[in-house]
This record gives sequence, C-alpha cells and structure tokens, in this order.
Amino acid sequence: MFKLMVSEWLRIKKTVIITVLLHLFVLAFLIQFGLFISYEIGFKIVMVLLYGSCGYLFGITQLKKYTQGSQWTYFINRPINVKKVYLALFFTTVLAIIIAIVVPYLIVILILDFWKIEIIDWRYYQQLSYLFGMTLSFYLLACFTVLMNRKSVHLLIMVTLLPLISLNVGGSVYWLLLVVVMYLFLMVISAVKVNLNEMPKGLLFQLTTATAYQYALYFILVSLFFVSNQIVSDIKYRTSESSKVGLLESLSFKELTYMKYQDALVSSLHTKDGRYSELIEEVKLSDTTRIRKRVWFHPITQQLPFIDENKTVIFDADNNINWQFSHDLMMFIGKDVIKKTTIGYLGPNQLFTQLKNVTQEDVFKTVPWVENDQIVVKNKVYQYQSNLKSFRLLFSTNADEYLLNGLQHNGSVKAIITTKTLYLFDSINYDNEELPLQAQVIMPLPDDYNNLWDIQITEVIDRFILTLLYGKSSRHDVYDAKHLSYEITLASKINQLNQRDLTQNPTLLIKDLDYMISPAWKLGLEYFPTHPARDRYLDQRPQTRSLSNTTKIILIILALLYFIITLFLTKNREANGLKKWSWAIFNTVLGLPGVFSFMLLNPKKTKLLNQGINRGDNNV
Amino acid sequence: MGIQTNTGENMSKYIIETQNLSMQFGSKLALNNLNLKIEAGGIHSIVGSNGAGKSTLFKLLLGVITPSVGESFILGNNSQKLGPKDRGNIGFVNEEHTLPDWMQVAKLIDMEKSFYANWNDAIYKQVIGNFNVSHDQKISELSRGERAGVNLACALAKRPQVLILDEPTLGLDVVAKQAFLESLLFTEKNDDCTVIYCSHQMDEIERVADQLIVMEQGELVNSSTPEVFCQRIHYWVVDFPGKSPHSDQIPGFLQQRNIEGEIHYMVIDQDLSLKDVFIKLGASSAFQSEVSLQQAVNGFLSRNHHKPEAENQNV
Repeated sequence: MFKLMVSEWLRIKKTVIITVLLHLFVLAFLIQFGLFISYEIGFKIVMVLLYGSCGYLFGITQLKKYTQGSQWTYFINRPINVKKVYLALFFTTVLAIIIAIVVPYLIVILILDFWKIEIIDWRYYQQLSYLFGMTLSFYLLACFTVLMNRKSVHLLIMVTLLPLISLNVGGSVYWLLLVVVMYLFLMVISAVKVNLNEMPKGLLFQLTTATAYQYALYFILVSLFFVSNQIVSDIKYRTSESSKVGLLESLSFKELTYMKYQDALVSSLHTKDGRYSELIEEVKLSDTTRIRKRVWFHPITQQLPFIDENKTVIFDADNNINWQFSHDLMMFIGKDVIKKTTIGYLGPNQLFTQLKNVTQEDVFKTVPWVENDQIVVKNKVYQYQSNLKSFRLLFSTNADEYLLNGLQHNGSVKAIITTKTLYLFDSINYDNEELPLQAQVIMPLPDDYNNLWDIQITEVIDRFILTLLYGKSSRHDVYDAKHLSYEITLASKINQLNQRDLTQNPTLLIKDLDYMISPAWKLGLEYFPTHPARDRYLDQRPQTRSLSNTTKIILIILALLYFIITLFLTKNREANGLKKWSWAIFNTVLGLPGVFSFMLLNPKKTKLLNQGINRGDNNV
Repeated sequence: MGIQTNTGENMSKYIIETQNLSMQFGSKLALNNLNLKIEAGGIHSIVGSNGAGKSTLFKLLLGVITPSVGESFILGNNSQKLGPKDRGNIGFVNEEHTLPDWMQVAKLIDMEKSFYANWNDAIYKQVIGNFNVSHDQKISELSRGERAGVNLACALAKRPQVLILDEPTLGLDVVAKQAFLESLLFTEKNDDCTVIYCSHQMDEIERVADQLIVMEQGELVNSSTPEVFCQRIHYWVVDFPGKSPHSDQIPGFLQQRNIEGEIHYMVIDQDLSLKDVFIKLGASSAFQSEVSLQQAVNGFLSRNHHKPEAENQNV
C-alpha cells in the first residue's frame, strides 16, 4: 500500500506545489487588503466553500483518473484489497491537504502572530482543523460521487454543508465536523469495490448511505415546502390592502408584522366595545417607538472566527485607536492606527499599559457583544468613553437573566430587554450620567422571550402605552401568537389593557408538514442530544407541540400510503424478502425521504432482451 | 465436475468457464448466453469482429462488470467474488497498455515487485531486453512499442496462472510486434500458465494460437484448434456456363465471389462430394483448394455480412 501512496504522491506532487504557491498568494492578497481578519460572515463562508471546492475538485479529478476506462482494471487487478488501493489514495490526499491547505495557512498566521501584525488568538490555530476537515469532507463527497456514478449523490452535499450551516453551535462544530468526516469516510470505504457499475450491497453501505440520503431529502423537502409557503405568504401580505391602508382589527400575526409600528400598537387596543377609542386617538397623535431583541446568542470564548461576532472591534475616531477584542486575553487590545503601536489593554474596569499588572478580576468573564459604542456581556452593558479610554458601566441585570440588547435610545424612551424583563429608564438619569442606571419601570415579560417578536411604546399625555407582540415567523413556531397591551402610569404602575389571540399559519398542512414528510426524522432531529457547547444559543430547544387528532389521522393514512408505495416500488427492483419488508415497514415512519432513498438505493431492474435467455449452447 | 467455491476446492479442469453468460448494455446484447470452457495451459486465441463481445467477456471474467444473466469462473472462482489472492494469479494486458504515466520505469517495477511474491526478475529482464527501454525513462516518454514491452514484461514476471492479452499488438510497428510475439512465445512461463490472446491479426493468431475461439455477436461460434477449424472450411472455384444457383442451394455456404467469370465459394463442413452438387447445379467444372486461417476466419465471420452482396453479384 505504501508503494501505491508513493506512486500517487509522484502523480500529484506538482499540483500540490502549485496549490501551495497559489494559496500563499491568495492569503497574501487577503492580508494586503485587510480581508484576512474579516468580520463579514458571508466572506468567510465563501472562503470555506472555496477550500471545500478545492477538495471536491481534487477528489473528482483524482477518482476519475483512476476509474476511467482501463485504468481501474489496471489498478485493482493486483493482489491487494481494492479498499486498500483506495486507502492509499486517501492517505496521500490527506498529506496533500495538509501541505497545500494547512501549512500555508499556518505559516501565515504564525507570521501575523509573531510580528503582531494582527491579533491572532488561539482560535485561529484551531480554525486550521476546521479548514482541514471541511476540505477533507468535500474531497470524500467527491470520491463518493465518482464511485457511485449517480446524479442523486449530489444531494449529499447537504451532509458536507452541515458543519457550515451549524456554525452557531459554537465549540461543538469541531465535533460535528469530525462526525461528518468519519461518516463520509465510512460511506466512501463501503462504496469502494471492484465492480463500480453495481450498487454496493453491504449493510454498512445501505445504512450509512440511506441515512445520509434521508437527512438530505428531509432537509430539502421541508425547506422547499416552507420556503415556497413563506414566499407565497410574503407576497400575499405585502400586497394586501391591510398593509397599505391598515386593517387595524386584524388578528393575523403575519399582517401585524408588516404593519407600521403605530398601526400595530393601535391594533392591539381594539376591542369589540371600542373602550379604548379615545386612547387610540391619543396614540395616533404621538410617536411610536419599536424595541427589538438584538442579541440572539452570545459569543463564546475561542469560538471559530468564521462565526458571526458582530464586530468585536471599537474604533475610537477621536484618538485614532482601534480596540479589538482578544479571546486569549479576554480584553480589548488598543492599537494606534497611525503609529501602528499598541496603546494598551482595556478590561471592563480600566486601561492597562502592561499586561503584567492584569489580574483575573480585570478581564471580561465572557466575550462581549459590541453594539455601537456599547459593550454587552451577559449581564452588563458598558459604554466606551474616548476621553478616558475606558468603559463605564451603564446597567447590570440580575445574574439569572441575559441581556437581549444594549440600551435602546428612542426619543424619550430608554429600554433594555433581557430574557426575563423589560427595563425602562428615565432619560434624565442617562443625560445626567447618573450611572449605573436605575430602572424606572421593571416589567417582567409576560411570556417566553423566545417567542417575543417586538415591543411598541408610545408616550401619551400622562402615561406610556406599551404593546408586546408574541409569535414567530419561522416554521418552529410555538403557535400561541398574541398581542398584549399595557399602560404604565407616571407612578410606574403597570396595568394590562388588552389581550388579543392572533392567528398564525392556520393550515395543518403547513403547521405539521415536517411530521407528514417524515415523523421519524422530525422527532429524531428534535430530540437529538445537544452538545454542552450549545450554550452559545440563548434560544431554548423548541417545545414539541401535541398534535391534533386530524393530524394524527393524516399521519396514519400517510404511513399506510408510504408502506404501500414502497411495496409497489419493490416490484421491479432487486429488493426481496427481508430487504423488501424492512424498507416497507421502516418507511411508514421514515416517510417521503425513506421512499425516495429506497428508490435511489435500489435501481430498477434492467429489462432483459428475450434473445439473451435460454437459447442453449451456441457452439457450432 | 462443476465449479464449487472461491476457495479452490473442487476446482474445475477448466481455467475459464462461463455458464449461460449474457450481458446487456441498454438495448444492446453484448454477450448472448455464452457457454465457454477453456482448459488450462496453452495459448487460446479469441477472435471475432468488432462488437463480438470479447472485451465485455474479459471485463466479466475480471469481475469489473456484473453479468445480466449467468456466471463466469476464472481459476475456479466466481469472477464476481475474486479476492486479492486470485487477482494476483491473473495477468491482464490491454490494447492501451495502461501504465502509470507519471512514474519512471524503475519506480514502476519497484512498486509492482512489492505486490507479487512470485515476481521473477530474470523473466522481466529477458522480456524487457527485447525492447529498447531504459529504467530511467518516464513511462509517458515511452513509445507505444516500449510501453507494450514494459507491460508484457511486468505481466510475465508476475508469473500469473492466467494471462489475458486484449489486442496487445494493436498499433505496434512491425519490429515491436515481432519483439512482443517472440517474448510471449519464447519466454519461460509457468508450466500451467494459460494465455488468452485476443487479436484481429490473423497472422499473429496463426503463429501463437493452440486453440481458436471464434465469437460473433456475443455468441460462441467455434472452439477448436486452428487446424481443425481450417479443415472445416474449403474453397471451391466453380465455373457455371449459365446462371449460377442461389446460395441456399449450396450446402455449408459461407461466402461467394465472382472473379473473372468464375464463382469462388467458401463452404464449411463439406467433403469432396460437394463437387457432384455443383455439377448437378449446372457447373462445367469445380475445384477444391485449402484455405489459410485468415481466409477461413474471414470467410466464416463474413457469412452473414456478405450474403446479400454475394447474391447480387450473380444477378
């Protein structure tokens, strides 16, 4: 096997050297134009896809080279297991990826780190394993594509994209990537065989490939249905009369999200007896402010640089200082952008010119979230003061709640939302710099913050009128959309005025579609154990709803239908006995992805020409 | 005795055996219910026109494709279940002389040696000596003849039990072809090495073949020694003063040509009594002559292709 590796290395060494040079050139270009440490997640994702594409392209060309025409017969016709022949190619490719992808990147970050050109945290070194893993997973997908020689294999790109679309799982993305690489490796190794025209029959192949197909199909089918529904619904509401003239009695959550803030607030005050008609007139004469959640998840220490960080950088234009957060130090490092020198290290309490004086008490405990001139950590909001080159504490919450935004300034309204509470502040305190701020109104959120869409506030003559809109636009709705309105008196007393239950995605088809497509996949993904590193999410796990009786009946009918369709499909496919009944029974719960994957993994039998059969000996 | 397992037990006396083997590609039937039996030892030549199914047969024997119907066995093992050890006993040289172009000859030999415990350096050197190949040369820089030499040298040095040569001399010049055939014929091989030699070159077949297998449209149409095959086919020159008879009236008819007023017939499995038939059909004279293997195979294979044309010539 080693000799085959040497042979493959001799074949690819020129390509590897050219790739190394090209890679170094691209990285130098990115550094030159300040793109290497970019905060644009879109750019970073493009970069990851670029590395992935290199792996994919290499895999396609490599395997095509060996499997085309007589090459395959030449290579496999030797006293070595065909899987070992592939392993020789695989291990040589691993070496090539390390040399062409990992080493140049490592050289670049070492240079940037050593000469302090950029702030290079440990996570940039960790990122190498991510790039390596992504390139390798795309390479494995390419190998599988060539070995299978079927167009449907392209669907499995969803598996390789999983560690990319799941970046927000934080540290566990490395584990996820490891699982994906190992999974793809098993798929590929089980697909390697002498006869490439035949579908592999091994149990490992059937299990791994069927599962991968089903995951991809479930994801695609559900997304297709919901995206098309979302587009239709958006078009409908954007063009509806209610959004143009304001159908203020509307009970549709969706319509309310498209309304002007003031209209939405007015709508919340509608009652059958019209008891708030005078108040509505007052509201109409005032300005309405909207407050929304801004922080969906807090950054975690040493998170992958590819994850959206909301720019952990503050630029002090007065002093020409760029403050960039370092995950290694858990402090902001200030650099004079003109002199290119380090000014000092800024923690939550004070500025340090020397690191040796910094204690554990002087650094941030969690990675902050920068919102304009504010620094938001889980329980505290700070503000940068350019004259003192330091932070001042604006507000701190209780330890058991997380901030969902910084201090919102909207005219006379100053507000902060946490996972539990809405805090309103007096503008005078803020203007007089009476810090930390003391909340004038502390209002416990009446429902789960996950489901909070937005808050509208209007100041009328002697009070504030406040509306909370609950519901979600995404498909993981909790389906208890409602509109709550309150008044807050000058004495900071909170009285509920009205509550309206809203309609949301009314059809069963849309509501329970994922169950109808595949109950097993819906529940499997719902209850898949979470990695501890998922603490990055503030959102709780979606709550599973109880299904209506109608949905349950539909699910039973569909299960029977999937069972019958699978049995029907086995008629002209090579699936008999145990295989046939296993597929049919499993597909009652695997649903549509199960049926499709059965079709993809069990191709139709070729109809044999009559002349070929039972003609006896042809010898002359 | 039938072929039982891939372990070598109850191995048939046949080194290659196919049972009702059919292979269909879409609507094309490449092999049609082929029942072929090749005994161990000697050089067995497979001939047939393009599309006769020879290359498909080799792919099936090597287990690279799955038959639509039937089974094939090589060295007593089902082709679909060949293990690495079995493959080590099968040599294969194709018309393209596939080799890793990016390697030097010396490195290639080094790699090949590492796989085969029975590698025989003396055989390798003997064969490669017939070709002007330097070990420092890169394979991509070798001429077609030199590639063929390296390929044959490797194949023989591995000392396989079966060596399949699929049109190995295609595109070789006269010198290279000569070197190739001499290497094949005069190199000391395993005593039990069976060579399956597929070619369109009848002069080569005539020179090397111990057995002649003729395939046509995916079917086996002859399996015998070349001599026996030649003895079955005869050439008759017949003079018909009047209108020549329809070919259906000629027993064993294969082919006819009208040359300078005489009709030249090629027939199969007929003795001298055919002359009486010609006389009865109005011939003024009829003479039989022997045919070469090339003529016999050509006549045999063209019997269906040329029939309408031959009929027209007499109109």
